[in-house]
Amino acid sequence: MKALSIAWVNLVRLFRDRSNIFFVLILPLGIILIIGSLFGGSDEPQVGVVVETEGPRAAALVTAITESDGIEVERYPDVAAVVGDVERGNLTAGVVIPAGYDAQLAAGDNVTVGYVTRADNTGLELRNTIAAAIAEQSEVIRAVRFAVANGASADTAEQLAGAVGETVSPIDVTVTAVGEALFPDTLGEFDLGASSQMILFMFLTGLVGASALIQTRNYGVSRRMLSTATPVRTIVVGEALGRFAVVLFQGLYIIFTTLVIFGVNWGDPAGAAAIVVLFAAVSTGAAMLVGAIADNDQQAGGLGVVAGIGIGALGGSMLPVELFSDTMRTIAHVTPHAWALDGFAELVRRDGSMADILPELAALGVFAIVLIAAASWRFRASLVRSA
Amino acid sequence: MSNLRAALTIAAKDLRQRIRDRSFIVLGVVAPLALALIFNLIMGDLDVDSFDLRYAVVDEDGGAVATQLVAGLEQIEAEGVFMLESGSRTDIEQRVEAGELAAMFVIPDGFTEAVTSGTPATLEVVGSVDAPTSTAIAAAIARGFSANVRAVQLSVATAMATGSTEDPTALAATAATAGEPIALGEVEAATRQLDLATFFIVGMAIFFLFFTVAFGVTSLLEERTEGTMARLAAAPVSRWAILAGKAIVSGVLGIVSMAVLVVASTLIMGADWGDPVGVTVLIVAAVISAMGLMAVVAAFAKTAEQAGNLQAIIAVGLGMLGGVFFPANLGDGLFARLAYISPHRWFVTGLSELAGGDTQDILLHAAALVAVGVVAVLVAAPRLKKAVVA
Repeated sequence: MKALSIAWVNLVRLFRDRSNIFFVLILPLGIILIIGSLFGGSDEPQVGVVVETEGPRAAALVTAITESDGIEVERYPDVAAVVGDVERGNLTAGVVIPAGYDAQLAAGDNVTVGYVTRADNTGLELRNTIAAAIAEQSEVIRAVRFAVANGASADTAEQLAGAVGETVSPIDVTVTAVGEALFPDTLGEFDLGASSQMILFMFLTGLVGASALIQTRNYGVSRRMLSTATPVRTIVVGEALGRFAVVLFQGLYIIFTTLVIFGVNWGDPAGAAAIVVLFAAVSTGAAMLVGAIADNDQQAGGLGVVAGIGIGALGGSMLPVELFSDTMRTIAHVTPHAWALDGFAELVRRDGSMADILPELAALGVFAIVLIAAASWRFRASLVRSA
Repeated sequence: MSNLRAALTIAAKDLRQRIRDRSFIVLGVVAPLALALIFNLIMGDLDVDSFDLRYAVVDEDGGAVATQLVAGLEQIEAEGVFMLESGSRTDIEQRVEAGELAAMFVIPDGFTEAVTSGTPATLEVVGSVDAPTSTAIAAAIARGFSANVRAVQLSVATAMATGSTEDPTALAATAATAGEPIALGEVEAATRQLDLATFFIVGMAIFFLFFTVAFGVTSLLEERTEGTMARLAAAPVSRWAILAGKAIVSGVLGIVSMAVLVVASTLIMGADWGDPVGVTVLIVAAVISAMGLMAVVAAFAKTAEQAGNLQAIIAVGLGMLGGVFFPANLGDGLFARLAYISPHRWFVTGLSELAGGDTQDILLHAAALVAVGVVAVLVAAPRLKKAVVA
């Protein structure tokens, strides 16, 4: 029971400092929201289109470009705007349909459509997409001009080209996709970010909480606890439970709120719960270890943030490990984060169940046991030393 | 003792203290560099904007039209747009499935005959499910080829329909050589973006600048809790001199950490900050804005602990909003607009402008940063003088 009251006091102390409400409860949700809005939506390259003189052929070309697969098209008012946005990376490429486009084509002149891209990007490849849209428009123009060159009048040629167009069978291009999708279409816009940010923040909250453990010592709280008839073991368990409760509470809070607010899919509830509980234990172990080893609470707090973000990034909390290079992916699995996130990938993206994530759970269990065992040993020593 | 000398003495004492307790080195130099290095290590290869485009072509037909298509693809390959391989369908398809190749073009048996006889012909594009953009580009290339073939077919058919009596094959040969009425030409564009390595260090530098600059503020409040403030206030020194001393600490620490980061990241990570004059202007402006915001904290916080928490909330909140952790383009949605509340955003976009333009292009960004600082100081000023009272 004493262990529970020690845990409870820790929770009260955490939330009495109101800035922790921001870091534990508000910030993670804010980041999940930002990441979901930035990365969760369509990631098709954006192409800006400027039409300097409106006309039927210009409009048809815009339609052809808009209907091209794999790009998103946005209309722009002028060339300067489109060039500016390409330069700043808001657009992958820009297309400028020049002044007098319709008139020049009607007069039998050749025209040049402008293509804007930075030298360093997908724009070079996307050029092919725009060229294809243009080729589709120019096939009729070429036919008309060819007929006129062979003696037909422009009007008849135009009419006939339209008519024979129906009879000429085009080469049909079929497109199929093969392979297993890394991130299936069914993945909601917040799904990926929610689990990775939850893992990042649980660990961060744990590490930052290490400074509270140091304060407990520095303020003499542990000395007073030890002076009572309380075994050292109970104090260690109580402090650990307090950390564990905070981190677990944050994990469950993030799961619950993102489920309700953003409709995030967390997969099999039992599996998700198992990962969160084990990862909370891992974070607790890490926090206790830092709290036992470090002496200065402010430095531990600052280093905790940096280490939490750094280890989180290495473990795939910033960028999914699936996108890492092979070497980095191996290194990533030195962190518990990578294992927890692998577990969520299995649950959420491949509809796995508890049985499918046993290896990940086992790995997290090992992390937890090793960290907590090492931490308890060191922590005990630090408590007794401080007393 | 003159007020100026008093301010300098206070500043010198604080600076010594910060260097001794290592907090400046950790937060001002080591933390930003370490995080930028880690981010660069895991995300550096992932240049979102340039992917290694690898296609393959499987020619099961071998006829004239098929050969023409393969030649067309080889020509685009020669321009350096993508890499092209060829091989048997089963081999290639396996590699597409494994994601080693982005997509393959399959020219089925009987393709040439179908095209020349005017019966329906099919070109297959099989893409990796994880490379939708590359697959779409491959499909567009196939459609472009198909449109060119169709242009010839249409030309011949139209000419015949308008009464030409020439041999269709001869007509087709002439039609194939006809020029394209619509060409695609280049419009010049620079790159007003930071490369990834530079982005990471720029983002982390401005993020931690707010913590570095906060040392002046924290020490002001610490003097109060430790009781040294009462003694300072009792000395024949104006309160403004004490504040100036703390401001000098913040400014010096901010500028020194940024300067160290610029040099270190250039040497270690190959970061490219851009024109030194522009970089200096932006750094000074950023330090002013951070000092202003932290002065507000000093004016309103009651204890050093409270100040620390407020600083962290402001620094982390504005940093997140300003997008210092995400190398993504913020686009033009709500967040992109909101992001400009944050000085971090002005700093990062200022350096991006500098990457592709003139030093003059950053004046707006520098002005915005200074404005944030000045407004913040005006907000803080009325309460700041009280902050010096013990």
